[in-house]
Order: sequence, then C-alpha cells, then structure tokens
Amino acid sequence: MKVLNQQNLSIEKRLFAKSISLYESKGDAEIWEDFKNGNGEAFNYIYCHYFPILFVYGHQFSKNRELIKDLIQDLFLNIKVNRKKLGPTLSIKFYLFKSFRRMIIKKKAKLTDFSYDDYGKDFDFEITLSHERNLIEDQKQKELKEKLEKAINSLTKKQKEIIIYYYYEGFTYKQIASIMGFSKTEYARKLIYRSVEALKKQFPEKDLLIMLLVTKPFAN
Amino acid sequence: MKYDNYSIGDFLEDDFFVKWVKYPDAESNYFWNKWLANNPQKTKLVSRARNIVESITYEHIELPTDQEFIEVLENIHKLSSSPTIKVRLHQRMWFRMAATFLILLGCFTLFYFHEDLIPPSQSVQVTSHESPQMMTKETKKGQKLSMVLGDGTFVKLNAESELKLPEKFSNDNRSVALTGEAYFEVAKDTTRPFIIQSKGVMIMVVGTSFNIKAYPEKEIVKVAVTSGKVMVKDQQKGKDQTQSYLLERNDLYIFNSNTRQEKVFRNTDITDETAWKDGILVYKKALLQDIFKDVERWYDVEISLETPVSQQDLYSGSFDNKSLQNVLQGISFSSGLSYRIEDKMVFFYKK
Repeated sequence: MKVLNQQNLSIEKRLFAKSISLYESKGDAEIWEDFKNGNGEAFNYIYCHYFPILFVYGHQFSKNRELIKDLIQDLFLNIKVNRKKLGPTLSIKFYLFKSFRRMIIKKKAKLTDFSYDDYGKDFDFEITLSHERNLIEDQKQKELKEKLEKAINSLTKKQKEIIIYYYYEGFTYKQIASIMGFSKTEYARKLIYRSVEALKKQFPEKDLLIMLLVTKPFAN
Repeated sequence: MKYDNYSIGDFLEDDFFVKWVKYPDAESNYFWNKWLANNPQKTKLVSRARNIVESITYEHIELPTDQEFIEVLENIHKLSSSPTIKVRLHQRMWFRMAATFLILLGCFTLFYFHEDLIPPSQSVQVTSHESPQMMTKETKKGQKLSMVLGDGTFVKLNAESELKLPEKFSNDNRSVALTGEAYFEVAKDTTRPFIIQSKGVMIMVVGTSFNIKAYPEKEIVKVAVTSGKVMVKDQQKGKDQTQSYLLERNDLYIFNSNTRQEKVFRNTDITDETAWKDGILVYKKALLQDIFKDVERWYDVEISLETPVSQQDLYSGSFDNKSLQNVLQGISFSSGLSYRIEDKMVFFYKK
C-alpha cells in the first residue's frame, strides 16, 4: 500500500499563518478579549490552537469521530455566537475543557440506548509514559517503565483522568476541581494524593529510583 | 526544610514542584536551583520525579485530518452567520426530536403507499398524478455540475451522470431519477418526501444529505449518508416495509444490482464516498482499472494499458484537486508503470 498524498506543513500553519504570528506570543486574557470584541484573527487562532487538543481530549470519552467533531463544532459555535456575553478568562484552555467535558458527558448520557458498541471499549484516559527524550535501552529500565504504566492504568477511570489533567495538561487543582465538577478544590488534591498513594503501594520507591536513569538536564 | 525528606511520590503530589516542571518561571527556577545546590545528593531523585511528570501522556492520540479541521471550521462559519442560529442552539434538542419523528412518520407512510404514487420500474414518469414536463440534467466526462432545484435542494452531479426530474415538483412528492453519481443536500419538506430512483434502488428522504453512486458499467450501487435519515430499498421488493433499510449519518448501503444483494455498514467512515464533491479523488485498496475509469471520467481522457499488469494489485492514495499530470505521476509512481500522453489519450506501459 502506497500513499501518494504528501503534505509537509500542517494545515493550521498553511491557513492561519497570520493569526498565529499575531497571537502566538500574547497572553490568554488578551486573545480572549480580542475574540470577544469580534476579532476574526483571534477566533482563528483559538480554533487552530485548540481544535486538535480538544480532538485528542474528546477521544478519551468516545471513539466516535463524528460525535467528537459535532461537539467541538457546537462548542466553538456557542462561544462565537455568544461571545459578547462571555466573561473574561485567564486560561482559554481551561474554559474550553470545562465546557467541552460538560457537553460530552451530557451527550453521552443521552446516547445510552444507541449502539456505540462498534467502537469497542472507550479509551478512558489510558496513559503511557513517553520516552522520546530518554531512549531506554536497558532491559531492566524498560521492564520498570512497563510496570509503572501498568500500575497507572490499573487506577480508576477518574484517577487516570485527573493524572492527565494534572501532569499532562498542566491544570491547577482549582481548575481540575472545576472541570471535573467537584464542589471543593480539596477533592482534586485528595484524588491526586490517593492516585499517587495507590501507585506507591504497587511500586516501591527503590524501583522508581532506578527508573529512567538517563536524565535530561534541567531547563531554565 | 519541607522538601528534605521527600520521596519521589511526595514530589509528585506537590503542587509547587509540579507547577515548576510544567510551567517554570523565574521564581520557581530560582527556588529549585538554589534548593538543589544546597542538596546535591537529591539531584537524581528530583530528576526522576521530573521525568515521570514529563513523560506522562495519553496512550491514544487520535488526531484530526486536515479535511476534518476545515470541515468543522467551515460549518462554524456557515452556521454562525445564519440569523436563526441563536434560536436553533436553544431549541435544537426539541427540534431534532420532532424532526426525527416526522421523518420516520413520513417515510413509513410513504413506503406504505408508495406504489400508488410511483410506478416502480419506470424511472422517467415518476410523478404520475399530473403530467409534468420532464427535464434532464447531464454531465459529460470531465464535467461536474452543481444545481439548486426548485424546492431548494442542492445537487452536485459527478462526471458522466444524469439526473431526470420534472420541471416542477408535484404537491405530494419530489421524484427524480439518477444514473451515475451525485451528492444531494435535500431541502426539508416534511409534506413532500424526496424520492430518488437509481438502478433498481429507491431512496427516500425528507431532508438530509447523502451521496449516491450508481454508474451503469458497475453492478454496485452505493448510498452514503452524511446527515439526517434516509430510507432505501430494492425496488423489486415492493410494498413490504420490513425489506427497507433506515440509514443514518455515516451509514453506507451497498446494493448489487445483479444478485440483488443488499448490505449495510453502520457508522462507518464514508468520507471517501463524498470526497469527489470537494475535488478529491480517494482510493483505499482499489484496483488499477477502477482508478483508470474514474480518471477518465474526471479528466475526460482515454487511458489504455499497453503492457499487461496484475489485475489484483491494490492501490491507496488521494489526490486533492490535482492536475491530470499530477494524478498520472502518482499512479505511475505507485504502479511502477510509465506513461505518455498523446492528444487525449494516455498510455501506460512497463519500461
């Protein structure tokens, strides 16, 4: 099988070079304010930056591509149409994740009687430990990495979800509590604590110490 | 100090530490560099905690295609410029439920009575009540034709296809007959179902969009639904409702006009079926002769194969609004064949 089509630059970069260069270095508050004032470049920037991120995120809840696309479309349509009524935000990503998660959960609840079995089990925030920076060649380390991955994936769905928010997406406890619909920030902290404790139980500290021996220099 | 006896797990739970790894700033860099300078024996421990945080990622990363990126953006622009959008966003749920009900009701009623409305095998005189003037829209090789019918329905005809329809639709239905391939976006009209007859298959809808491929030389008829609900069935099966299929978005119906076998693929990837309307030729595991046939149609050329090649080889690829030269080069590259163009003829041969 040979694929004939070749595209070097990503579509975002080809289409929205102007929006990207305008907003790349600006803070969320300013981008959001411009967007609320009807600036099309600001909207394009938000769309092209967050569409792929939300796409990946949405797939953790459902493998149905069309469903995810529809919901992202509704989300952007909603903020675009109602932009004047939106409040300010310091984190566009947080705002979008929060709204998007609520929409998916609502939609999925309504879809229960549809047959979505064709897609098999949902991804449910399964986690992997990437090692693009640290090439693990040592067999022992490889085994440990796989063991840790297994341990992480044996956590509950909610625990894996919060691990992604906290360590990968980089949300604060306060933001996570809000995204996951907890009434108190404290619950997010507790859930992380419980997840790490569960890992510790399965994974002795000395193993963690041997792991990922090739360390990268600190960035600063 | 607080951090002196921390284990890796303790670091992983620490907000200030995680924040430093994720979003280092002058303040946190200053703090941690100083702390590490004072506790050099902790360097390895901290590195590992950092490493774990940094390597955590999604196991499944499903990325959108370029087409999907554009499709959603276009929809947003299209919908947000429509004046009714605000109402729609709020009432959509209700609207959808009501619409679904009406469509189903409409389809079932119509299926039940359809034989009174349409004489089955006669595709031309589809509206028998009145004596409407029929007209024919057709495309030649190398042509595509977009049109909006009297009821607001959008039709895009692919090359070498033909659509027969009355000059004016009757009051109780909208009937057309198709040979070849077309993409439909049917305007909603619950009182007048839209009926398409194509190579022995009858397709009935109220308002929706879908693609039909029914070229005469192929025994296969394909119906791919991009939105809404569509009712299809083998025309020979007459009135029996249970013999019809209700297709929804992303369903693909395949009918073999020789064996009269019907097959439905639910919720499948149909983007390939409709790509042609956006000027994209897509192949997934296609035979060379099928690709040639399409290229002949699209670019109005004749292709002949001078040296025999394997008829079983399968080819995949796509051409996004490419010139004939580009497409031929792509085929040549994949198949290992060379080609030359003489007038409107393309010859493929082995070197």
